[in-house]
Amino acid sequence: MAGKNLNLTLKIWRQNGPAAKGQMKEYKVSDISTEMSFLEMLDVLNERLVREGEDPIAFDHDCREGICGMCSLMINGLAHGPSRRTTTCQLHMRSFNDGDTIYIEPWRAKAFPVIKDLVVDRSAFDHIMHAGGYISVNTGNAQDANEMPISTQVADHAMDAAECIGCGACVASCKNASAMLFVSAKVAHLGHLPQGQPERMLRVQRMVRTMDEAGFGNCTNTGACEVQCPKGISIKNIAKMNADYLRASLISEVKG
Amino acid sequence: MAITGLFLVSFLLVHVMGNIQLFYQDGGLAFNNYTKFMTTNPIIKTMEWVLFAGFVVHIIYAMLLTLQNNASRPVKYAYKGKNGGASWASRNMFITGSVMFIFLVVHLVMFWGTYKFGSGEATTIQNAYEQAWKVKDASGLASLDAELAHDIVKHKYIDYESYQEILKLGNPADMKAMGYSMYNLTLDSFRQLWIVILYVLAMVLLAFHLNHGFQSSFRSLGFVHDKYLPLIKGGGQVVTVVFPLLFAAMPVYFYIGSVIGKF
Repeated sequence: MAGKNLNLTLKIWRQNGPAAKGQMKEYKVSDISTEMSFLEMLDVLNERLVREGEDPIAFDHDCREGICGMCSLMINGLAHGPSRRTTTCQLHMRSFNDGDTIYIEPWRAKAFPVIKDLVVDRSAFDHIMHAGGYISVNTGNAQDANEMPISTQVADHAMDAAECIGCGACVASCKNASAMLFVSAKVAHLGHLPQGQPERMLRVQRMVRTMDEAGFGNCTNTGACEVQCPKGISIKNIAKMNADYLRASLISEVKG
Repeated sequence: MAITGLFLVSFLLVHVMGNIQLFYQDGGLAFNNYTKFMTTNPIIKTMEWVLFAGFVVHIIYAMLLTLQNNASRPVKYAYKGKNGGASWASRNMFITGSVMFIFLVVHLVMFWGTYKFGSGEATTIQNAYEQAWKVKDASGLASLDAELAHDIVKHKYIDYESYQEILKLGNPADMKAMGYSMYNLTLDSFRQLWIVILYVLAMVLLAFHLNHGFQSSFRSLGFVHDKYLPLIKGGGQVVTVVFPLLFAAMPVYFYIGSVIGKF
């Protein structure tokens, strides 16, 4: 099926550096194939900007196949754009119409400061992972795969949570810029599995504290994160993490 | 937030159950007796302070959370109008809560404040006893037995023993008194259209507030499981619809009643 070509007006956030003052800037692009991905459309614009001697627009991307979590972009007020369960790199221009005006903005959160243009610093997520998003194991030979039986149901729940790619769409969509969906996915992922049990109480306390220190907002269960998550992480993980956190705060002897 | 919120929901349950007696066709006797119980029972009087603390903590937490949450996104998005699929109720808890706070102040001044601090309206000792009025001033009795009159005002209501004493002194139907019937107070307040509108509006906002707040409280406390999630959601819908509807029915009932001349 042959695609159409689109003429679009883009309103893009331009900001020279972390301390610089940014603004929305308008660009016209023409002859954009509907078969392009959203990032390819930005590539086309950037090539033109380079030719014209203007600074190209900085945006994050890596795998371009929806699994690395690098790409971001708030597109017309929606994280990763209008397609559900899709990252920006997997969003195609067929989701737009000829003559559309598209707003492209970086993730907005105090904990995600803008580095340049559409690129934000998401190292707050790394700090949260360092605080407890792992299991401590002795090194040595790999253990036998069947040594620890795990039922399919449990494995499925763990896998559902583990699908989180850490892109930050939950933070960007949340009216409070809360990171609870991300943190709860990481807590739930290990919390479901036997390997995660020894450090379960410690993990939730440390990760939540690091999250709070990073300046993310509080969860008010509005549910926007779940809707906007490109991997469909369930908001149920948040309630489960709350239960773990309460238990850890009230009865755990281990202090994070 | 969640704990105080659910506590306040439990208060709404008690409040709506008690106030349903307004609909009894008994001239307000049941409601006045209920008011007497609520204003004299030591457990209720203690719970009044707990309830007050519940409101204070809920409101202070709401303000702190709102300030923190606003600060967590210093630069807002240029594109407005998309909310990522979150409901209006869930995004505007602070606004619905704030308007209800204003309503709460008006509501308390109107009833609790008047009943507690007002000077009362004229009645007789007999009527005050029979209709369970709160007695503010028993001047008609004071000339006959100053001590008994003082005692009645101190204990707020005329009990059976005191009334037997009064009967020995003279005809209580001739003795003037000042006091309040909570039922009459309610009746008089809900004759005014602006009050009725304010109440109904506040109850609409309460419905939105509960619609999000009830189930969100359980989530915040970690209660989410496929087994009982439907119960929480269903319970939330019942609370959301039934409580505000019953509360809103009260001013509307009395307003319409006053217009058609029933009261």
